[in-house]
Amino acid sequence: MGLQIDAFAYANRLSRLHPAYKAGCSLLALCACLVLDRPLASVIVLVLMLALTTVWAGVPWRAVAKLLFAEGSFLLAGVLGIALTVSPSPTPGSVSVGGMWVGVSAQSLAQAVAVFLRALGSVAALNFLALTTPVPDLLEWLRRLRVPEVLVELMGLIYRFTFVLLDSLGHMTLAHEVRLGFASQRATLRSAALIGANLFIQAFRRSQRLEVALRSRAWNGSLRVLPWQDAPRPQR
Amino acid sequence: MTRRHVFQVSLTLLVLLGLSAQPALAKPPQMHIMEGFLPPLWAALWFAVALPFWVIGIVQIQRLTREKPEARLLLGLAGAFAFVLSALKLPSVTGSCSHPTGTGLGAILFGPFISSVLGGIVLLFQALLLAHGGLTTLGANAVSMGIVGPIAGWLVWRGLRSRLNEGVVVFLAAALANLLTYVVTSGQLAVAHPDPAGGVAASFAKFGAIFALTQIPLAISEGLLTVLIFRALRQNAPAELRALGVQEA
Amino acid sequence: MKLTFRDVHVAYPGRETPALIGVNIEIAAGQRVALVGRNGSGKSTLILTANGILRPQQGAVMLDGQPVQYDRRGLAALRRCVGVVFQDPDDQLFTANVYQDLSLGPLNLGLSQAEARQRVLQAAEQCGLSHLLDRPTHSLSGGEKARAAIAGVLAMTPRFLFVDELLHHLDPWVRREVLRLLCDLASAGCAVVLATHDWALVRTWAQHVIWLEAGRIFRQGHPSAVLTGPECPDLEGAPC
Ligand SMILES: Nc1ncnc2c1ncn2[C@@H]1O[C@H](COP(=O)(O)OP(=O)(O)O)[C@@H](O)[C@H]1O
Ligand SMILES: [Mg+2]
Repeated sequence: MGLQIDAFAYANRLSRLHPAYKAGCSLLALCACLVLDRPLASVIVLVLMLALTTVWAGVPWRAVAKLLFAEGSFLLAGVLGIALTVSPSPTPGSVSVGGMWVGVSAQSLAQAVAVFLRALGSVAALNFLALTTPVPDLLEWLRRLRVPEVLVELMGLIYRFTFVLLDSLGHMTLAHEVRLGFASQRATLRSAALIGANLFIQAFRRSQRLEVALRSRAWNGSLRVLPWQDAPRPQR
Repeated sequence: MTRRHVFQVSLTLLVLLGLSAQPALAKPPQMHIMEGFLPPLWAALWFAVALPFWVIGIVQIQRLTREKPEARLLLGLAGAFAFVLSALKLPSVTGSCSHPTGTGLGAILFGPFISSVLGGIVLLFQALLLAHGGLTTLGANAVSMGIVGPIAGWLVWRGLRSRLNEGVVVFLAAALANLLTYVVTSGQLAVAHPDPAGGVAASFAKFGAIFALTQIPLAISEGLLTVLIFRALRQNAPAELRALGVQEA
Repeated sequence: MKLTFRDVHVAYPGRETPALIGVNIEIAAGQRVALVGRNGSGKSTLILTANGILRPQQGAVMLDGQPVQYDRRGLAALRRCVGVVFQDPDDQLFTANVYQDLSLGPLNLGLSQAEARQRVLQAAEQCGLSHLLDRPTHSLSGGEKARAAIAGVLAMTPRFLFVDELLHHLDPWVRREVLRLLCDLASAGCAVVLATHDWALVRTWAQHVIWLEAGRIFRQGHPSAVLTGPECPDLEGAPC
């Protein structure tokens, strides 16, 4: 079980570019969206970031669109809370809910649209970063920015172990699937609990095996490795 | 805009929402606040709230890894576990798992400060690898999901463990952590986007009502799930639990 | 160089029967050794003892006739010479990419960054990983992960390499590649000790066999002498 976004991060045209450029691009766009807070600016940022992701970085537009659509649908639910107004007296088009009048006003609707566009632009900017930048590059960059070493190291371990555990989770899910572990809602809950517990136990035992493996490599307490930037990068 | 106009637009909005319900129900919105949803000032404020917890947590991690260098492996796996739990297959009525179970376990094992750091890292990776949440909203999400929720769960666990049946305590801890996460997030959205007429209170009611749909069943199933996980751990891995410092009740 | 076990007893805490009982072995430079025996017979325990992770309660592990000192410096010296590749590569790959993982061991040995980099490139070359150095660890195939795990140990230039049931997940083609690598290592003077259940391989590959049963040495010697008689599972006829 892989993570699609992560796979694109390694396999796009910009993956070798220094992360500072991509993060800078993305953060600048984010700031533009948030600080200007104008629908027009948001739309421009949205289009620009989508173009950067698909044309410059070469991420397939289908993947980008699918991601944006999923995020847009999450956003709609949130924006609904802004679009609706609640007032003690009836307003045009409002309905009564428990003594209050719930409706939509032109003002609230405009605001909802503005927030929706702003968030969509920001999300596109974030997607650009996520889809073009391998996490190890980002971590190396954070290290250079003097983010505390323990934190960067822990992030690296979490990133690495995430994939190991995702693998285990995939295998265990399959093993329950073939024994009809997800045939009913009840069974699903039970299977989920068993898998969760098993995953936790596996994680703990793995931490012990990892420790043995570390010590066998003359470990002295720090997880020092060579800077990633110096790695030879063969042309493929 | 005329009245009719407003009606049409809201109808369109509802249809759109209906369309989006299909993917949204397959994977109902977690309580992550999406990127760009908070104005800059509020985003910064929530970072400021989270910061002290992170600082204390990082100092504690530094101390822990100096005393027990191998602890970082367990920390790394605990963080990865919290992340991976969100990919666990759950009954479809409640959809995907949020991570109070993971961070809650982290809080029980390492205390609230270290688990707030783990929660922050997990949220960063969720933003970068799953497109859940965002960078500017990381502070707000960290407060609701990585700090308030787990601390509430941890307090319930600490306070009631010796008085009630363990299963009940675990259920309460997990369900409460989940509900508080939801309440805090609704509050964060409400103060950032107050209702033009009814103010923050009305806005809180609106966001609360919208998310109640998915979050209350989620809290219950998360509570049940955590109980079952905990029971399985007690049965299958008592030695491991003891090694991790989770004593018998 | 020689690695010797003299009358080694190892017991896990809380276990009544020791996992190794009176084990005497001697491994010489460049030797190809196979370590065989049932599950739970003590193969992994022997490997961990050779590397100093486990300390014998009785008897001694000796490097060139000198008993190993179980303090910081003694263990560092032992681990510089004795490398271990474990069964599951995911248990020993720590970093998100191959390059950084290979550098962990050399840096632990206190080498400078330039020297460590040199070692990394060399080990990668040896294991045919040069084109994969910048790949994320989680995107490697099983065979590539196995080779990365071996390279992580080779970067420390061990004189004795213990490989614990690594081959079992690998397909015959990849297995062959890994075996060829292990043969090359042995010809270059590094002793290779392979814990395995593959008897056909043991018969053709090994120069010396150590056969454990319930923590004791059952037999040891040249395969042609040791792997005979009704105890050998591969000499029985077809199972059905
Ligand atoms: N960490 C441990 N704690 C207690 N007993 C162990 C541990 N590891 C192995 N053992 C026991 O030691 C014996 C030898 O195990 P091991 O060396 O792993 O065998 P093999 O690798 O040949 O399958 C077995 O009986 C096993 O149960
Ligand atoms: Mg073994």
